[in-house]
Amino acid sequence: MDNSKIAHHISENFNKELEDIRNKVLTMGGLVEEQIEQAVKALTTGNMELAELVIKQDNQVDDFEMEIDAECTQIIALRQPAAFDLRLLLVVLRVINELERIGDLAERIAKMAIYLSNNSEGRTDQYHELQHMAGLVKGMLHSALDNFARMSIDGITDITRCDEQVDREYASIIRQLITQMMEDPRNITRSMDMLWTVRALERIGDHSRYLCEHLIYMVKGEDVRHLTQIELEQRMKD
Amino acid sequence: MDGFNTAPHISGRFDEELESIHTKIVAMGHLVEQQLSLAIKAFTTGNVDLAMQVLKQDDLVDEYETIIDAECVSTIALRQPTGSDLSLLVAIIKATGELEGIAAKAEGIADITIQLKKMLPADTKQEIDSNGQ
Repeated sequence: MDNSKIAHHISENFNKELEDIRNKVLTMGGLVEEQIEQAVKALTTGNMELAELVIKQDNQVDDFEMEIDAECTQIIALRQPAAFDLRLLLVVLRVINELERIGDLAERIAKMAIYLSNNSEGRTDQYHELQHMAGLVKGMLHSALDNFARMSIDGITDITRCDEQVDREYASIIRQLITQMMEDPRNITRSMDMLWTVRALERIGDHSRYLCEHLIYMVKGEDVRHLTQIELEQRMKD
Repeated sequence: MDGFNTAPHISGRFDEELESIHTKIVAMGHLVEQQLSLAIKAFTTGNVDLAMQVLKQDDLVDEYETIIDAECVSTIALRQPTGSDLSLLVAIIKATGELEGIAAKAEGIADITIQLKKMLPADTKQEIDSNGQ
């Protein structure tokens, strides 16, 4: 792994601390990725043990957040970092917050898997669309974490652009669900559960986008939140 | 007056910086509270103008977030605070994020108000309007 950005300090210990934090964030990220994967699998296959596992894993994610959070604040206090190092530590605080929320959303999907297995009477329409959408947001999160590991923002706008496609697919599934609810009111319970699930996936896409914005701040020192995709691409060219 | 009730620092400038951040986060908090009240009012009364106002004001919330975060980061970098001062500044950065999130939800409510109004049949719209007045 390329350590040039963090392993250049006179203090060997400081290098180690930063690397340790990065590794923990990546482990936490891996856990959250796994949660999404398993939550969606639990839903589409009706595997309740898997759903329970995702719900249980959420405590682990919360522990990671608290632990990394405390370590970051301690390092800022002890090492009094500046420039990139300080941005790295502040960004880690934000990144773990996004990851924790993504974990919560995965947990919600797992809960919906449990509700749906009671309500859906074996219906599986829209699972295909849902899986496709899940694939997109998993890809976004994975690429964002990959960029974090490399401390690089090459091609970052490709990841954020993907969020637009996620939003389009979200809108399309919602339209289908509304149609089903209008066709037959008996579909409403199931459709609402499906709606919360795709809503959670859409939010995971948003949080992955925020992750990318934090990475841009870390590398370039520029606050790029609240920009549209076009504005963001323009800013990255400058 | 030090709004955060932190003990006075040897550097008077540091106290002033904390005071400036305090003033801004209080103002941001008030704005977000107002956003939420306005959005709920717009929704319950079906007032599209009010909803539009909420949407417009969201940029202001975003600006507060950006400015306060930048001030906190530069204060941490320049003053190298430890202990409670550092915890305070880190907590503020987290708080601005939460406030922005709440404002984004208020914006969502305003957005739905506008969407709903478009969907409703004309007579229901009138009814809501008269209820609102």
